[in-house]
Amino acid sequence: MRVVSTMQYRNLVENLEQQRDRNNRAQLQVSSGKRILNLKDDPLAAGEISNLEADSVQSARYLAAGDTALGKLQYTDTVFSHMLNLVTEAVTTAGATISLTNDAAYLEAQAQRVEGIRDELVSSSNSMYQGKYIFSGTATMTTPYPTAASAYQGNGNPIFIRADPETVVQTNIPGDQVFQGTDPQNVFQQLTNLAADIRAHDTNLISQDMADLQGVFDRMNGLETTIGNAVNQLDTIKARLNSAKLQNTTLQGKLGDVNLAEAITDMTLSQSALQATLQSGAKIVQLSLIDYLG
Amino acid sequence: MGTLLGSLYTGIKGLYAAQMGLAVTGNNIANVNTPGYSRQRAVLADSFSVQIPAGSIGTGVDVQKILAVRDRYVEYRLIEQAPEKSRDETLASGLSNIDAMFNETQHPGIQSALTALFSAYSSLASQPESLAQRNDVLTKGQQLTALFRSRYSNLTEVQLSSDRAVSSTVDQINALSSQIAKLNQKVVEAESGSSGIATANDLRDNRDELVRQLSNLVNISTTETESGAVTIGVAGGRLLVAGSNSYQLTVSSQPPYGYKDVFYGTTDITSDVTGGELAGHLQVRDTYVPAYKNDLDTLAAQITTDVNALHVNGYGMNNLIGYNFFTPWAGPGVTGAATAFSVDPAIAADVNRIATSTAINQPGNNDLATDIADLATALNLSGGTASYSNYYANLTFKVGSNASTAGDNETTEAAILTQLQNQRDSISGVSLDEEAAAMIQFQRGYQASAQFMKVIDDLTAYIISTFGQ
Repeated sequence: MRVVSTMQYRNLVENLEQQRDRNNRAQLQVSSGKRILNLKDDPLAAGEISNLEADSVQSARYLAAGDTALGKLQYTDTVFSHMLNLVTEAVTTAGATISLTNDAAYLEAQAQRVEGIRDELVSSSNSMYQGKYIFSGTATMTTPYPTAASAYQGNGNPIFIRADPETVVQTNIPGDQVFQGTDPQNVFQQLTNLAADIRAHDTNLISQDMADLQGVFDRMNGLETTIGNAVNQLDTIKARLNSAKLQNTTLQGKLGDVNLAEAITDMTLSQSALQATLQSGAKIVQLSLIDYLG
Repeated sequence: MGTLLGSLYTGIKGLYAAQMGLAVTGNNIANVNTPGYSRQRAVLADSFSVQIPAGSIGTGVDVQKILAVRDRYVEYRLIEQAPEKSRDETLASGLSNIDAMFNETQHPGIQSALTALFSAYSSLASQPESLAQRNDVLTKGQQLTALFRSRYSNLTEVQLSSDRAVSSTVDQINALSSQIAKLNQKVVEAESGSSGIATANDLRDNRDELVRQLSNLVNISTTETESGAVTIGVAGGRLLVAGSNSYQLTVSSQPPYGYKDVFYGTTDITSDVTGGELAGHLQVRDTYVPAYKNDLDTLAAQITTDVNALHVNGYGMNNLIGYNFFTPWAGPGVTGAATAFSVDPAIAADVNRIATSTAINQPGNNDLATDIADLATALNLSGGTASYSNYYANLTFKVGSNASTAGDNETTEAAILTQLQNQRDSISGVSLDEEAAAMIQFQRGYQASAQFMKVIDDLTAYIISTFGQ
């Protein structure tokens, strides 16, 4: 083929452009740590990374919601434990009065103790987490039991959080279910009655009150178990989401992150190729018969 | 002939031929880097012979013509190939700009903002009474909608740039076709019998270069008439240049957006423009960007519709109800949804209007907030197969894929064009080696002819001095 200088210059320039582009690309990959510098580099992977990022944010959303719910449920669990202790203490106190002789001072002291337990229980029923009542259903800004004599002020609605795409978890137990259930009176009224029965030393009624309080204990204990189950469920989901998130991140890395060893090798190779192109080009374009004449 | 004086003329012809050869060589060397220049050759032929008793004897050399070395097939292939390459180059450049807009592998963009909004709503579902979470939802909503509007505006700017380029390209086409017509006239005049020039090489080179430039701008077809004029057809064979006449293309703004279409007389030929920079600009403006805009509109419309449908029936704090979260767009269809995409001013004015509950007097009720947060994964697009994120990810894929295809096509077309340019240069380009050799060749020829004339002169002088005494 007849080769003229314009062809050599054109080919040299195009080769140099290609080598510089390749070298520049390798440098950008190494410095950014990213394999995909433009969507056109790998549109499929870029689209997939976009989907994975969205999935990752969704996982983070569920994890964040789960963490908030976990905090509330764990706090609720603590309140339940405290309330169960209070109910147990009330039953123990009542039991101690049955076998004793009619010592008015002692009975008054025990009655006051039961009233103290009742007031503490009222306080627990008005527990707040992050400024919201935990036992008022969805009326979280309403005090469930302003006094021991008050009727329930909240509502019976549950609150759910989305723990993962398929699972919702209840994060509250409305106060009427906790403190009254299906009983004709709430636990505060029962304790008020117990205090009166202790003062009157009516052992039959005290026994009945004790049986009622045992029912309250069993109900609260059952609800605490429900809370515990929810905590366990959220822990399990959290572990699964974290694992999925890790896999997601790993996959994103595989798709989008540069293989440094490969990129550095490519950068070195492209640099060598660029140098070789420059050197050979400089030599070739110098060669002309004109240089050898005269 | 056969006489001493006759031989002197033979020598002079040799000198003249060598001079012409050197002149052509010098011209070739001077034009070694001139775009479109075709190397020339002085075509030499032995001069007429005279009959003598012993036979016939030549009378030296004549320069028959100065020939430009060309291959018409390669020239035509170059003109056919250039529009393909130019179109793909323009497309690749325009689509690369769009690629950068949607490239979220390096920095956060719409996808991040989209998921951030629904995550914020999810956090609000965890704490529906929280003023801070409400403000976060508002902020994330404003960030998302601002990004949509910005991206849409960026796409419109690309269209406007392409539209301006359409006008300027048509101006260039008209200028070139006018120059080609003038050169046509000059070529015909120069090569007509009266001027005595066999082939107007330089004029033809100039004209061919302009035709090549024209083929970079628009798809053309060319034919050469017997008179030497080139006839050029444009966009479906409409006559652009015929002899010394050129026909102007015009542009005219068309509804609904006012972008300019290309007209030949009163005929809209926009759809017939399939090659060259003009086609690249038109395709970016009329095909690719509108598709991307439509996707943004579709996504914004779906989000607005879905969120508002839930939100308008929900209660915010203080039992506030009846507010859209996003400002509804006017239409028709999804048109305008992205540009109108914004958080409703009523929500921005009071975040307590952000709905979280389906029931009154239940500040802790998060059922509506959860439903809205769940929209993030709902498959409400593409016939129930794609979530908002999936849809947007597919848009980024399309942007990248189109840019990649255009880039690949450009690389391929450029390689073919380079090959053709090399092929043309291989035939018509100036080789300095050849010219150096030709220079020596003609120099030696000149020296030999001069030496020959000196011999004749010496002999003539001898005869004159011998017989003159």
